[in-house]
Amino acid sequence: MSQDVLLLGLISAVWAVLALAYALVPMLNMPGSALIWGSGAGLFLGLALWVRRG
Amino acid sequence: MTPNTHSSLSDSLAALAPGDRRLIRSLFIAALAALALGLLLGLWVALARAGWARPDLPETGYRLLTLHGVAVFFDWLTLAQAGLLLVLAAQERKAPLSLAWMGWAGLVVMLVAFVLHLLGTVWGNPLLYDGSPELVAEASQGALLFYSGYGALALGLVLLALPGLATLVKARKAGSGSWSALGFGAFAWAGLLLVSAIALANTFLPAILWAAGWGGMPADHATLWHLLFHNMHYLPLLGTMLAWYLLLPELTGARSIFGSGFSKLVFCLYLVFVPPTSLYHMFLEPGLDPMVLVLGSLLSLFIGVPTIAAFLVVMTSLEAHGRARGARGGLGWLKALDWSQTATHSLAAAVINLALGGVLAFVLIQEKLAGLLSDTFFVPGYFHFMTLGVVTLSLLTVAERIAPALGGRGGSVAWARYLPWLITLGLFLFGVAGVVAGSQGMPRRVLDASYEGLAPTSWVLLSWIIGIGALLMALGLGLMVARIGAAYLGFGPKALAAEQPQAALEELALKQGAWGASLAVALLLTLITAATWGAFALMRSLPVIAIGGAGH
Amino acid sequence: MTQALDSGRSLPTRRGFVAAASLGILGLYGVWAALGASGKSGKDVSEGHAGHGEEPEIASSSGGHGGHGASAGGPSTDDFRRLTEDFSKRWKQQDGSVRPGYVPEPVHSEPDPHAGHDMHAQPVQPEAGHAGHDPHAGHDMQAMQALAPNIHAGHEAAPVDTAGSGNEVYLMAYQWGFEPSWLKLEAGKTYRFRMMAVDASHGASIQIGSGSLITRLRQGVLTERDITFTAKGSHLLYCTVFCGAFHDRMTARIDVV
Repeated sequence: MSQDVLLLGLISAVWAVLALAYALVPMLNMPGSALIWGSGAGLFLGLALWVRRG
Repeated sequence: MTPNTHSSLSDSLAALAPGDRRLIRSLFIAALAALALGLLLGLWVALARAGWARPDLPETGYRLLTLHGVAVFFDWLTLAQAGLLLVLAAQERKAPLSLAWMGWAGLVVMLVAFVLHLLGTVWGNPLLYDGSPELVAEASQGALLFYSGYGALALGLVLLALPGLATLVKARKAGSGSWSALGFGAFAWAGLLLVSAIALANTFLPAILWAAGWGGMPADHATLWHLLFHNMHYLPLLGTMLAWYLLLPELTGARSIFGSGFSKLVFCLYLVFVPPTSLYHMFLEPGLDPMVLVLGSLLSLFIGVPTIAAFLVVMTSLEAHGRARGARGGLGWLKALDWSQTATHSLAAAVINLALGGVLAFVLIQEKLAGLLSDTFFVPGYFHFMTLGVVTLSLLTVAERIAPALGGRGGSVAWARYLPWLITLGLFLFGVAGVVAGSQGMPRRVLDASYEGLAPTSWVLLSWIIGIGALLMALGLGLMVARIGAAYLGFGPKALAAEQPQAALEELALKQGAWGASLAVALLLTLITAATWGAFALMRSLPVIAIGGAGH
Repeated sequence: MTQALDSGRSLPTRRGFVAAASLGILGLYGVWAALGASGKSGKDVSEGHAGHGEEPEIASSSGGHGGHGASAGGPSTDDFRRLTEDFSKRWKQQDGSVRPGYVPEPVHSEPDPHAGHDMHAQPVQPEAGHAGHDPHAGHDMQAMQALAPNIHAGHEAAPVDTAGSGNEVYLMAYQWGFEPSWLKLEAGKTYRFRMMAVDASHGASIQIGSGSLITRLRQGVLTERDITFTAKGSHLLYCTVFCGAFHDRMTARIDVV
């Protein structure tokens, strides 16, 4: 896997973890944040797959 | 030896289809028009605050402030960034754009968005650019138009980002199977553009439905706005870094001596750190857990890591190349730059403004200072350094540089070199007076900060200085926009063929003691420390003790 | 690997050096810690007095009820409006100011059945000693117990500042004003400010000394802060959240006596 794809995947993974934190950690309780960063995580995953397939 | 194999920007743009060049040219013309409008409105607001221009009705003043924010922060930045993205894609692809029709559709949708914003602002209550539904009252038709403007903007962002993404994917496939650092950065940045479109929809779709009578009042508009705003102001900062990466080889021949892999990692880290830093916009919101405040401050520092890294990569490379080409002394590499070019002056001014804005930014992210500085004029005092002094100057430099290659003109004129410094002088007056006034509590988003004589007298004096600064900024920026706009419309002197600067020997560059950028960062950190200390000292000098009460 | 790649380079052109220098921004943690700003916010008010060891802090956080826009846990806007009206009425002075905890020499007058319902009313005669006669004083008995635990204090010599008496301030922000619009507070005394924006979001910021104390109020969210003014003076209270056409006329006054 190329560095390009790996780095895009890394962005997706970190954002997914953050989205989960925003959704599940009671102290944060920010569903709006979870939605945006979760959508972003999915988007960057899609971009990584697009790049991988070329 | 590593000769400069980088094809010039002009060559890359020449490889585009004529329609592609027309698209990019149209995007920049529309962007410049939005900037010119926003600039005039912003100037009027600053003069109103100084007491030199007062509207007959307060609504009129706030309508103009609303349109200033929309025209500059959303329209100018979006259109100019869309243009930059296509330029970056062209540089990577060196062939016609993919899905160019989407770019045209995006431009049309952006114009529709502007008209909707304009009509909504004129017909509805002035909502400022965050469009709080609480202020809509009975004027929901105007609000519907205003919110629909943001809906169109979201669609426009998607349409404008997709041609860039598709072209970059093709470029990668057609090339060696990997991007250059700039190509990767542009692709990731375009991804953030799409996320910003999601954030726009997330914030304003509920408001559109509500204003249309199809849904309840948006429950959490303020928080959603913070998220959108967070995205929208980090987006152009990454774009600015990419613009610098694009322009420096063109202007100096210098390329990164740190390798593309390292630069890609820096761009990636920038995106990684955007989401966790969003908390600092909410420090003043009631009901936040105290630990969230602490966490927000701590995490916010991380966005500085890739920003400083990108700065060091660019500036150290520049200095190392300069020294490798024979520059001597502490500042010899700076003197050796081509100061006959307006672009060199613009980027130098942008670097200085980045330092000034950066110092203030890191004061604002300290949660304990939020109650002293947030919602005051400290905020516009700081962010104009960034949005105008850094981002806008950099985007204008790209626009100016590519105008001849897009069929426009854009020949060099000596007086234009002074404009970035005039803008910076105006910004300095505006920003420093604004920061001082904000530290004293002068609020932002008011037309009359004198409070009928009840406010400290210093606020009036500082508002005058802010007004003078705004005048100088507007003069410099207005002349710059007029000059570049004229070039895009085919007026002005013809440009001479750009001479490709020579690259230095990379092996030689790597051995140079290029400490200038590192010392600048050390100075910056010292200034941030001093500014933070000063803010705490001010806070503790106040004859009041306030502590958050026990939340339930 | 990086070391191998970086061999032969000068120090500032090494990737490791750039990475380390970039991480230097995290050194600001140390600066914050040195300034005493790294801990959890929201200390108990008794720890925060200047000159008593712990550093005071302003505006570190606001206790808010109901989180992001919800009003769960606090009074409704209507309830808060009533509480504020009762508070203003309870402590209104002859000069029109509202001075919690202070009861001047009693002035006997007939109870005013309409008092407390006109936000723009002119100063009324003090009725502190007769609060129990006010037909509107009993809207929220629980709140009023906290608000006026010593309703007979007016028969004692002024000023009155017994524990639990007159140390709460109700402040309502509305388009476009504050209620009460003129507060008189005592220097050195800690007041619990209970604040709410009742129609749209507002700010309740106090210009004081060379700076300000900023509080953001969201509609329907009760926000509480313990505030101690440490010096006498007159201060401008103003809105710092854009709230409509007359936003910049939304002011009040706090005199610290």
